[in-house]
Amino acid sequence: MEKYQLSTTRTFEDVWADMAPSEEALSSSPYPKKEVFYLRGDHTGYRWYVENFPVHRDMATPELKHEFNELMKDILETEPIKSGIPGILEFCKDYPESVLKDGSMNRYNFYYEGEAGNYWIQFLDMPKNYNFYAHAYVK
Amino acid sequence: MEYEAALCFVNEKIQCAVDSLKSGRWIVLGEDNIIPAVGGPQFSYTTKKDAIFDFGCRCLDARRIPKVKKLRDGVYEYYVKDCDDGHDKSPVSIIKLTNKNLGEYQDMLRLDLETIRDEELDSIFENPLYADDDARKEAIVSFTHREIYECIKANSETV
Repeated sequence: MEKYQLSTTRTFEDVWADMAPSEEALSSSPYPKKEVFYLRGDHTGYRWYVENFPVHRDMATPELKHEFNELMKDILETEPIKSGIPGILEFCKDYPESVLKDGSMNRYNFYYEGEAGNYWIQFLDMPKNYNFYAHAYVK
Repeated sequence: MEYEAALCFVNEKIQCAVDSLKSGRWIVLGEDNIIPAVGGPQFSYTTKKDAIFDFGCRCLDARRIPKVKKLRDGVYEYYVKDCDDGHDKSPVSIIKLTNKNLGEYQDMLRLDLETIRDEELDSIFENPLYADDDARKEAIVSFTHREIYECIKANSETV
């Protein structure tokens, strides 16, 4: 990452206090009311393939979208993350405090407090699965 | 039944299976997938004890008292003792679904079921035995019952 400095400690726990199902979301499960959308990614071996999923699209301001896009560009198009799971492992080894072990899978949690929104970035190291999630929340 | 209709039909069942994973329930996570219950593809359990008991039965755990280690709140490792050689197998994880991890595990299950769907539908549509529309429909319904329907039924009874 070149432009943005991610945190492992600035968790946005308040986000989880208020949840409700969203009509726009993929699943009928409850989502944080502050969540605007999230991005899910898997690495093809050559590049990241990402999809965007709305949660509360009406809260997406142009500033938040711009900030999110810049952040994603900085994470996914910059080495070492650019190269997929090996890059994730290389990047995350400097942040042992970011890891939560779910048995055979490790999940690495990072956070970024922006000006337009707050962001939760998650890397997962399980092969043949989605390896990247980025959630955008309003402040 | 044409391919598009079959796809819609199976997708509805997949969505139900994914929605059956709920915060507060427990799953068994193997090396790269959520392990379904024995006797029918139910993918989550009301309690940790149910998850451990079911997986223990599936693998014929030789221990009377299961060997389970806590990794952290809501995440445990279960070591099954092989009934043939007496050694521990690679552990599986017993994980509590929470609002924070639910989305990823739903995605994982959806991806697995969609892979099964694609393989199964391709083989049904390529098989001359199912060239007849009724036979094909029966094969598709049978597949969804086998792989998915039982799980939905089981979950709706326990939730």
